[in-house]
Amino acid sequence: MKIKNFISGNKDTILILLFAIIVGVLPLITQNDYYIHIGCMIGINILLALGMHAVTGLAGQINMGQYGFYAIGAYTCALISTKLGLGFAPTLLVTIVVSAFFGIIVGIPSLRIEGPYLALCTIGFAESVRLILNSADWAGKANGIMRIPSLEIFGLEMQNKAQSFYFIMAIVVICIIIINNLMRSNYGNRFKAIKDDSLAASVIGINVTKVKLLAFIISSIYGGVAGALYARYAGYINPLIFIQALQTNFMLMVVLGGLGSSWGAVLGAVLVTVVYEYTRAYVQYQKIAFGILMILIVLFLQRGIIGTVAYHKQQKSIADQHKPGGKNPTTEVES
Amino acid sequence: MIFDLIIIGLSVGALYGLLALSVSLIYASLDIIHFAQGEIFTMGAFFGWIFYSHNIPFIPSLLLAVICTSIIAVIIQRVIYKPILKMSSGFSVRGLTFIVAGFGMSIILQNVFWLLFGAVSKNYGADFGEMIDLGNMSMQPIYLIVLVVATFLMLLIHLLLKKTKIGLSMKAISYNKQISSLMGIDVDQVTSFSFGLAAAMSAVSGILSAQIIFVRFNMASVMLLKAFSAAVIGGLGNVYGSMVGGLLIGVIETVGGSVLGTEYKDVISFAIMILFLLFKPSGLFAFRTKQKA
Amino acid sequence: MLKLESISMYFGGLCALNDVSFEVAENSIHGIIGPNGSGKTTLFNIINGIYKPTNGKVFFNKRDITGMDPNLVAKEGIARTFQLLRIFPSMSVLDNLIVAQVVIENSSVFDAIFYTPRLRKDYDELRKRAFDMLKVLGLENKAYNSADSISIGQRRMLQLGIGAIRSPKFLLLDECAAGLDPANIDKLLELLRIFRGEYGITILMIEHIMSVVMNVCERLTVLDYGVKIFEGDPYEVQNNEKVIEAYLGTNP
Repeated sequence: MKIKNFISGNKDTILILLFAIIVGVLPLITQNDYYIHIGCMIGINILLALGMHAVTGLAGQINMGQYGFYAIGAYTCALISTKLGLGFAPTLLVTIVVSAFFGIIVGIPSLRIEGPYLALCTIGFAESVRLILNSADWAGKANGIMRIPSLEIFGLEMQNKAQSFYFIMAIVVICIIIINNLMRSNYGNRFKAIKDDSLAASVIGINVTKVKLLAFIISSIYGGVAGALYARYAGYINPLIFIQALQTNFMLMVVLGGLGSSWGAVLGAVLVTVVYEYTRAYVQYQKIAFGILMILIVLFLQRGIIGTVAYHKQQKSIADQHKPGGKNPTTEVES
Repeated sequence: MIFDLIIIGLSVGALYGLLALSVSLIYASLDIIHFAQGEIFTMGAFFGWIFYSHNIPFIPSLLLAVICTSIIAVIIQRVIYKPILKMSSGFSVRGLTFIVAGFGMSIILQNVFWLLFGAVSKNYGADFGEMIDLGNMSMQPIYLIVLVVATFLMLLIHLLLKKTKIGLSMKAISYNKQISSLMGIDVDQVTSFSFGLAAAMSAVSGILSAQIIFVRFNMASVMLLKAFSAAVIGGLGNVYGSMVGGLLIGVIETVGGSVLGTEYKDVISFAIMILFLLFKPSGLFAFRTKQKA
Repeated sequence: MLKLESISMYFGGLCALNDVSFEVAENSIHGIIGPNGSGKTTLFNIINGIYKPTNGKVFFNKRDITGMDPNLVAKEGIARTFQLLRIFPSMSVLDNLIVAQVVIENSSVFDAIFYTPRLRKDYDELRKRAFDMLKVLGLENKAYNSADSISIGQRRMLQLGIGAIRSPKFLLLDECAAGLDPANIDKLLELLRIFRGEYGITILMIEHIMSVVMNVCERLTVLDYGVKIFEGDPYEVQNNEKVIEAYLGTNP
């Protein structure tokens, strides 16, 4: 069976293959565990960014609570792994179900409110999650959960960082393919239609409720899977990881790369993670730089990197079309 | 004893209310929800601490801190927020522009504070006198001081909005900027004034809060969300409503916290906010009637 | 085909529509005219399910669709364009026409995720229909342009295409000719006749431009201040006293 049979879009197939190759080769090029660790965090952050991209970038539902989904995923996985001793596969399944459930809960307000009000609602949710996890006995309170078993498949444990890296990236590649297929189909169009004009969308037959909830479910599942991967990769989680400041990272990832593009989310995740992990020693300067970058993006780069490139390509295409003997534009739009 | 819980609740609530009032003022005049207002609150607390630790008495320190904070806030508004508002296009997602800008500014300010002042909480060490006896319970004087100051400020604001030219201008631009401008109101100036006034209120709240919770670069993180809760409950944009919302949250939280345990008291406020956003987003005292499409 | 029975709409104390009843015959082009503020768009919003009427019922092919959710009304076979031109600016012109066909899609979310052959076949179908519609609208060159980069006239054409592409049984057009130049108006009239003739679509249109109304509508309902004041064919309406009074006022 050709790989093309599973992936929608020719350009994306090439990009995914390229991604897979880079990922596959990375641990062979560098033996440095630190770089491989950054690679693992890139993978986890790609999932979080893709979730943000789906719900906020594509469907236009502002979700400032992604760190809450991250926390829910991490704690669910940690609790099930430590208290029930299950392997990763069943743990992941349960995490997905739990995440989806919370995705629906957070999605319900989006049926009634939007914009900054929805942002407030989602922050309220995520902060409540953090506070509950910080105070609950069963979550280990401020100490969190320790000695979480590592990632494994069919009983084979990941012994070192390189193996964890392949494991994480395999899941990431699958998740990229899923989002890509979904968004290239008419479902992606439904998301964009709702972002543009939910009234007009409902009038052409789109079930706005279902699509909005689906957007939040995708965001929560991707966030939850990221959390599960993190929990078993790091082996230890506590509430201090899942704070509001983390949300700024996720936001930066999607607006830097480009709200409307999943490869933008990937690019944003890579850039932000690399800078974040690499400049850990200078955390305040790094954060100030992130903040300045966010404001600069608002002022000068609203489409993000990928979005701006795509826009200029399209503009040039249109300009060519108007020249004598011009060709019709053939590049698809990515806003 | 429930009575002193209520007094403490009202006092804490007044602090939320002042911050909520700032948020409402900004919403009313700029039409944005300012996610970095917590850092203005913190800025006030830090300025106050700087002056106080240089042996300037408390009240002058407070006044100086308020002035400094307001000046910096207005600079931020004119240099950064005004250009953003003037841009015709933002993100393809409506409403995201100021959320990102606000979060960005918040992160910048928080980390500037961290760099300048370190991570250790600062204590004013101010002494407001001995415990005050009210019947058969005693309470730290700061809580009563807060109530007095808050009442005074509310009166000030009330007089400002009703009796002064600038107050009326503020109300006018909150209804319709274009018409106000046509009627001779300098919308730019009034907007900056509103922002500065909001900063002043936040600074006072910050300085007084610092007497209870100490000064730290991230002291506002949960505080701001509660201020939003208060503003939503009272009616975003409605100055009086925001204070009422703040008082309500303060009391419910303090009383509820003694029942459920203090760790969960914050969750109560957020839950109430979410419920209001879902079922009565205009709050208890609606600010503007929104036009139906 | 479409029957409105005693529709009244009150917004608080304001009466937008008062006891309006009429029927639209199958495969006809029926117009609603009346001065501004007479409740025409409100009527459309009620048919669509955007508003629930205070009183009265809406029947479509003998089914009661009063107050149904807009997306369910769409599934019943009713399509609509808006006076304020609602299209999807963040998508390409082609994608606008593809998403307009959601009610005739054959694939599910899971098909999309796994990129099954069924999805591919379905999507190719949708693309083909979209391209056909682009030709009818005269927009083939603009297929990949984003929908906000084409001219207003082209956007109106696009909106028409969005309404008609999934072969609805019934099309509600709210002032679709507004702002078009004479050449485009002729094109529009041609399109409406094609929709009615070849596609078998019944059309109910709100319109102010009399030349369009007189040219293409078979029957007219006239509203004034939310009340139906007359119904008849274009000639009858033109010569009716009450209609003239509503539009022009009486001689004192």
